[in-house]
Amino acid sequence: MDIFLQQLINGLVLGSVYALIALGYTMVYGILGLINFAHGEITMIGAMLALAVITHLTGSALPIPVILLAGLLTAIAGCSALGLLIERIAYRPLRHAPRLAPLITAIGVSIILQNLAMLIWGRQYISFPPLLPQGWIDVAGARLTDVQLIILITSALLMLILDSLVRRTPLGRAMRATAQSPRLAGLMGIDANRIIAVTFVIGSSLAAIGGFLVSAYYGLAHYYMGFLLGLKAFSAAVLGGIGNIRGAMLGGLLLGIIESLGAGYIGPLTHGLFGSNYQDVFAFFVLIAILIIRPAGLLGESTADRA
Amino acid sequence: MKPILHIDKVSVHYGKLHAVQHVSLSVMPGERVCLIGANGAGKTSLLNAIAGLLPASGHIESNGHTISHQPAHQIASRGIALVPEGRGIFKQLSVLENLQLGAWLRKDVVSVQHDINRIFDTFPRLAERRAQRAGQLSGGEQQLLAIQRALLAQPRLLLLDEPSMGLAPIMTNVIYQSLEQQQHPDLAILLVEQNASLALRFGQRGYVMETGRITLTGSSQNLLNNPQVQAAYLGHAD
Repeated sequence: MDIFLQQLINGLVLGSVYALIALGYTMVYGILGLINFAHGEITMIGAMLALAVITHLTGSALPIPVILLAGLLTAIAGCSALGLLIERIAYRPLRHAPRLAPLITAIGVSIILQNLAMLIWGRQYISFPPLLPQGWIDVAGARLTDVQLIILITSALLMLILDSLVRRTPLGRAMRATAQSPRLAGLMGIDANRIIAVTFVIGSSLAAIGGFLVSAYYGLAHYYMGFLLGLKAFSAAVLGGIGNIRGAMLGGLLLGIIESLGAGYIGPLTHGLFGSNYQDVFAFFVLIAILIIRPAGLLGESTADRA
Repeated sequence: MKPILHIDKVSVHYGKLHAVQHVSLSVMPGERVCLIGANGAGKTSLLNAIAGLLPASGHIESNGHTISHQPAHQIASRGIALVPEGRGIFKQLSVLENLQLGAWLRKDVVSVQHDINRIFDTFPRLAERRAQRAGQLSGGEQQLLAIQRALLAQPRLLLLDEPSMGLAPIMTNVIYQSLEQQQHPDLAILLVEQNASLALRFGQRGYVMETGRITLTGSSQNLLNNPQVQAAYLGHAD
């Protein structure tokens, strides 16, 4: 088996999930200048909701794809509603407050959601019912499982759709205009609150799908999973240039690949001193490195241009 | 006929600074009115208050509907378009996208496209740069774009804040010609200018604003002949 190719595939799969989640960070930051630290928890809630529905329906007469879809759609609906609610009650009242206030609020919301999930679903790991296809295909000596293939196709499609939505539709134009200046957008007749709400719905839906995919990939979900996942997706958004949509996609993919290759090679390279359990460290090395070398991110513009 | 804009005792405060003090004025449909005054007289604050960008006390109505205390996007949907001081274009967006955003409230997609094509026919400079970022345009071109974008909303009242600011005289002429040539007979214009002779030649009526208050009003002809106006704003006294 080709380790490099195998880790590349694993990295791409992981990275495309990071990218989906990173998009939520970057879109909200682009429009509000706010790091929505509750976004990782929204991803977790998405995974939990999907698993709750899927577990409940497992064993019923429904065909498997219908069960999975029901879980996914519940997660999307639930996370959209949650995103809207958080924006409305936690962030909107602070829109003109100093930047630190909404940031701390976001951390507070994130703690509330974590504890809420723990109260509802408990502290134990919840496993994904065995409904997923178990097959795999051989790619030049590496293994691409059916689940990996589904994740790759789903996230690629979603990113294409989002990119065209933002670049080619009137709604996308209004989103970019609002991101540049909510005041000027208002003069055009654009209701900035509506655009911000739409942004939260899109970001939260992507997080829900990301949460679903990640729990399908690892076969489990946990009330605390949003913390690390969110932090990595945030690192991906910063790597790509926070506020930049294509940057979040690129950053997510790169981070996934770096992490996988790092985990694959760290053992041999350090003669077994460090093992693949150090996988999580790479995301933060990347975050620190990019903040030192190129704080605006790979595709980001310097903040002076954004004003 | 109801005024397209009626302002009654409007005041704007910035902290302790009383930028606009009990100003009343009105504009009838199709009328061109100018507001002249020195830098800092409160003209921009007044326009921004009308457009919903600044909180103001007092009463503002348009065509019989109260618009005071409404958010900017709702005032825009009442047919009031502001071309703000400094042009207010979306610099990161393309010229074409700026124009398309001007028509955000319109539902007639086909005629919007037609109107945009007509703008490109009339102003080849904008047509050539349609795919470029609007921030790369010259100041005059940006002003032209901002005005055409505002007109695309098919407003009934256009608020213009210092359209000649920072422009060479030749570009100022182009801008004012484009305003003369706009083809909406019912469009009312409230123009704010420091260049008083330019403004009074453009407007049918005028108001003079000094330190937050309206101190003088009348037909443009009367104001042009008024010795006080001549001394303070037209530079005839010396």
